[in-house]
Amino acid sequence: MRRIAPPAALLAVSMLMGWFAYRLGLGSVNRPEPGFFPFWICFGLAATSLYLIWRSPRPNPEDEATAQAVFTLAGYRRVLSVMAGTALFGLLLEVSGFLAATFIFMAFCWLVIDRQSLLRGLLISAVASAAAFALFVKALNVHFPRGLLGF
Amino acid sequence: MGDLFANLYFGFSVSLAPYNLLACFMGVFVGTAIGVLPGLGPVATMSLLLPITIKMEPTAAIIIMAGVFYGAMYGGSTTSILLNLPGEASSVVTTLDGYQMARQGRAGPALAICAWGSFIAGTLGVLGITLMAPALAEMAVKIGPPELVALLCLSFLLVVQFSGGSRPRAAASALLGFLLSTVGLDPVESTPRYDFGTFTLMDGVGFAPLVIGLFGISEVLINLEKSEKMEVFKGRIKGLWPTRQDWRDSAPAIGRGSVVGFFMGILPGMGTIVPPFLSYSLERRISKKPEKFGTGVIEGVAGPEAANNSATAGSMIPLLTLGIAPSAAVAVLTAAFLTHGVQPGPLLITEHPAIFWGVVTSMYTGNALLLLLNLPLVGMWARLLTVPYRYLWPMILLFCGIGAYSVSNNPVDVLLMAVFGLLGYMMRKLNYPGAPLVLAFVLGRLFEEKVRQSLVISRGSYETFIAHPLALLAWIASAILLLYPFFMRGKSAPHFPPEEEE
Repeated sequence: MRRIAPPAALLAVSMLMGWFAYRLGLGSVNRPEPGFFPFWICFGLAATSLYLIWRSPRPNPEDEATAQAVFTLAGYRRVLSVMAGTALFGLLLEVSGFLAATFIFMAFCWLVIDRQSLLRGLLISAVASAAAFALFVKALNVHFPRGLLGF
Repeated sequence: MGDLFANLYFGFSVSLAPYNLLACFMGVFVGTAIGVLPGLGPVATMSLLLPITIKMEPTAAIIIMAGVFYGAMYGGSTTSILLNLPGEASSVVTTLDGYQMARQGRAGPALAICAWGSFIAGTLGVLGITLMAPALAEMAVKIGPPELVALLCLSFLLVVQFSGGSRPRAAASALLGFLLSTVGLDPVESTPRYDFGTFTLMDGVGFAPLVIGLFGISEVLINLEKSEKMEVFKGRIKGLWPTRQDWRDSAPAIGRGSVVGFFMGILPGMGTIVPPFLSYSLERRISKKPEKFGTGVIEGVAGPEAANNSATAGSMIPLLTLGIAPSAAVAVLTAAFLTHGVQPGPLLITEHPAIFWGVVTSMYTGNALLLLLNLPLVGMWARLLTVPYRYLWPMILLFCGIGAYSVSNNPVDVLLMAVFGLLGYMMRKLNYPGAPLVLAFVLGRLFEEKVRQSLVISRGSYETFIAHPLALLAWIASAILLLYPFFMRGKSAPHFPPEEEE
């Protein structure tokens, strides 16, 4: 399953994208249109995916070596938490401004994912946010949205 | 020759200007730090710096990015020797003899020969660029779209062949990169493709969210799974000046490593991982005591370290002369050039001489600065390793988010980065290399443009692709490369570790 799922997903992507490319128009060889290049890329990707699916029943030493470590329940939880935290940061940036978004993101990482004690987590989040604000906004003059709080 | 000295003089007058010198110092300092710290490599760091350097002068911005690239090679060896843990994938082979030397109380000479070997090889590599790049750029001006298509095809095949692990998976990764490069307005008629009605995708997939997600976020996710505690070398590091015998043993290895690394670095796909392995096996093969390799011989440290540093210089040649990135790190450098409105390639030397010669000469200065940073301050770099990873990873994630956002001040880029982070994590877990994807993504638009131009100019004749001798040569080399695995079936082929960040 582990070996067949990724090429099957790639095959599905290539077929879907290939269909979109076909609808864009392929043109002719002496006048290729916008769909020409992506269509042939999708064709190549579909062929490679089919080859990988055909090869998947054979054992692969590379996969054997990493088979133990792939996708545990704890791993899933951690990955999803990090993804959720990062997405939260992106969504909060415009609403709450850089400093508040950074503080919430840092606190989420240290308190929810890393399970630090409440006081320590809040303290290092505050210090890290202030340091990031000083470095990026004040020293490097990177523009961030001010948000509802005004900073 | 007179021209060369005049150009070097001009280059040094640019790179030694206080602002550029400071940029060079910052670059090599950050490079050494991320090389020492396992968990954030040069590709992700350079991508993070990309938005920050937008407001800088183009020369200073490229100098700082190049400094991170070659600085990381120096820093990577410190952890290999002191911890038996390579800071960078290119320093894996240094652990074999470097760590054994440290266990025997010879950490000082091992670190010193790494720094000196890196300095000599890095300087020789830059000398190679100085001598070869102008001549190659002059030749490259005559290269038309069909020859460029053939050379790009050869580059992609080399990347697929040597990216480590399964070739079909590397090919799938490259094709996915090509597909992602087609998102947005098409390069000839500006027709929107795969934008699904959104403005963000009409501009195409951003380079920073893609690379930061693929390498930075996925690296954090992988490192969070590792629970092992690092044992930091606590002893005093003595003997930071190699003995005469050490020099006698390592000088030829440094020379050979420099040559192997430089020429391998020019080839796409080799990156900085393969050359140290080749140098190590070469040293062992020609040694009078090959059985001693792996027990702490200084040649086993000197050769590979020289090779990975001269490979960084070699990999700049295709970028500066053809505009082709041979590795993921150089692909980020390409993006830095493009962000500043500078097209790397054969015209760079004539259109932007200050950038070309300024960057090349800054690499001489950078190598000297790295020697100063890495020898007297080795104790400080070793102490940096005592910072627990649990305090570092949220900061790395924050820097990734800031890096992705600040290129176009678009929060959607942060979400895209998270998606690519997940993709990068899955790819690493399933042994799909990331470097072919990034290279294909960066060069995909150029490739499409040249394919379509060639077909339009030749009125649809495929013969145009083999009509020129250089193109024909590139296609023959590509065919050999494609057929090589079938001929090698059953025979033992060289095996290199799967890429991490290269």
